[in-house]
This record gives sequence, structure tokens and C-alpha cells, in this order.
Amino acid sequence: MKLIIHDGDKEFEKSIRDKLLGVGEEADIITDDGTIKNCIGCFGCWVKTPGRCVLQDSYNEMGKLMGNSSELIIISSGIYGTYSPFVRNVLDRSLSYIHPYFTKRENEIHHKVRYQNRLLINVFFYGDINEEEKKTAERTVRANVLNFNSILGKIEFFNTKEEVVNENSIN
Amino acid sequence: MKIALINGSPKAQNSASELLLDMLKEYLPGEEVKEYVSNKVELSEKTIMELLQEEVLVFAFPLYIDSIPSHLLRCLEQVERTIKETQKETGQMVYTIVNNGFFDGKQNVPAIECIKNWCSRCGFSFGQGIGIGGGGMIGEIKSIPNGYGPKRNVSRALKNLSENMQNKKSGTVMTLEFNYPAFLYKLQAEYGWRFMARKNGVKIRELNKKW
Repeated sequence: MKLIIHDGDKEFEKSIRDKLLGVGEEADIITDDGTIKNCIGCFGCWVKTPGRCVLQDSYNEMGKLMGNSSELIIISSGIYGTYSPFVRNVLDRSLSYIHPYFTKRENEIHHKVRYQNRLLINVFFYGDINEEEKKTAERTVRANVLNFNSILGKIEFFNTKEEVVNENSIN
Repeated sequence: MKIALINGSPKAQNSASELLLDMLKEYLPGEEVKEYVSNKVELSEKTIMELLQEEVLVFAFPLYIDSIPSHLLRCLEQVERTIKETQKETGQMVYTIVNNGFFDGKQNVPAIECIKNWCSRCGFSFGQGIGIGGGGMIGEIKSIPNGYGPKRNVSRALKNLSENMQNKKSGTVMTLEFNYPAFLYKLQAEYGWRFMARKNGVKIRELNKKW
């Protein structure tokens, strides 16, 4: 199952469904409905309700969604070398995907995995992104892949989000 | 010199970012230091205008999923928009201190680069970034004076940062850890998670829960 996080509106979500998913293909699509709360750094998703964010809104099951997906697709405007605030917010709220305990990966300390799946991560940035920001964005994605113990797919840059779905890069 | 210390942690009190700024302040005697907390998704117009009056800005924040916490990122975008809308002249020096809960300070580099990229968009001069690993332990050692024991490395880096700030100079990005063994940090952190879980009535095996 695919999990798609994007920073477009409901109409863009429809474009994703129409253009990127096969007939009858199901995917969890995370869209900004304007109600997302910010991660408050309480670690409740590790020590109060392990695996689940304690904040009450429609984005508190990100860990579960990531843990039960095979592929994560991110479509985000590129901001200073990272994702847009909404996409960053969703990722901040995904901390429960990983486990509080530590392990070593590539000679650095990272968190252990909670789930055994290895997500294939494809990231499509769009917007006015300069060369320095592109380099940073690649580093950011690679760091996420290592932290989530995932597999790196594509990191690509487009002028607009419509190009991402029209060029059909995701398939 | 007018210096703004901006604490970008979402935690209201006792965050690692706040404690690191407290350590930095000790190296800034006689300077006109003003402290700001940026733990909401928006800054007031008054705050942005005040920040733009300062000569030096220092952002301290925790690393969230390898980057800038989303609430702070929204505020940075807001500052950029305001500068462009008001055509305000900039040129301030910007420094940053990023801490993470892992042990390796170098994992903060992408977030430091984001601040540098933000500076280019806003017309600020990027001064220096310091990436500190093991942020989880700073609360435990806050009573130890600057420069001693496990604080030695971090204090030295903050002193270097303060000197660059006072001379409005740029410095190299530094990544470092507290003077503390990695295996002990790991053991203590994991004991801490178990302690907190038990306090919340959560059984240890439930820490592994999958949904």
C-alpha cells in the first residue's frame, strides 16, 4: 500500500488519485485540512500511548500508517532545503513510527525500528528551489531514509506540483 | 551590541535549546541581549519588526526528523514574507545552535544548512552553525558550570560562537557532542524512557507496540 503526503489542496488530492494511482489502487493520502496540530516534543507517542501520537486530530496515526505501508511518496514545495511546513508537520507527527531505543546504523546512533517494513521513499519537490537548497534537500531526504531505516527511491525537482503528477514520475 | 536569542523549541520551559542559550549568555556579558520564544506557528508583527531592529540573531532549536520543527519553519517563512512585503533592509548576522537527541552532532548539518539557505533568501548574513548531539542530557547537567566536565566541548564551541557574534564574524560549522561516553548516554536514555513509561502506567513490553 502507498502512503502519499502532499501539501496541495483537496483538488490536488483528486489529481493524485486520478493520475498517479492505477484503477482500483488504494492509497492513504495525507492532505492539509487546516487542522493539523504541531508536535510539542512531549514524547507521549513513545511513553504514554506507544506508537500513537497523543494529540487529538486527524493526523495522530502517522506511525501506524507508515508502519503498514510499503512505499512513501512525498510531494512538497521545497523550502530552504527542506519540505513545506505542512509536510514537515506531518513528518514531525510521525515520530511514533520509530522506537525510542537506540541502535547503530552507518556508524551513527539512530532509533530502532518499531515496524519491520522497509519503506521505499520517493520525494518530489517543486517550486522555486535554488542549487544550494537542492543540495540541502537531498541531504535532508537521505537523513530521513537513514533514520526511518528505509530505502531511497527518487529525489526529483519540478517547477510546479502539477508537473509532478502530469509527468507521472511516480509510476 | 543588540542581540536577539530566539528559542525555537516547542517546549515552554526547560528545553535543551533554552539551556544552551543560557550557557551562551554567560559569554555575552555587557551585551544588550533580548530573549524571544518561538513556540507557536506565528510571530506577531511587532516581534518580527523588533527582530529586524537587532544586529545579531541567534536561533536555537531541536532537530525534528532531521530538520527544523514545523512551527519554527512557518515563522521563518513569515519573516521572509514580511521582509519582502515591507522591503525592509536587512544584513543582520544570523547564528544557529541545533541540538538533537541522538548522540552524533553531525546529524544537525541539514538543519543548519536550511538556516543558511533561509538567510540567503532574507538578505541576512549567515554567521555560524553549531550542531550538538546528546541534547537529551543537558537538563541533567545544568548545574555543572560552563567549561567543566561533560560541558567542556560544548562550552568551548559556544565561547567561539560568542566571540564570532561579538565581532560579527563568520565561523565554520561545528558539530560536536558532550564529553560523555556514547554507550552510557544510550543506557541512560533507554532507562529514562522505561522510567517515564512506568510513571505513565505503561508496561515496558508495550513500548514495542505496533498498530
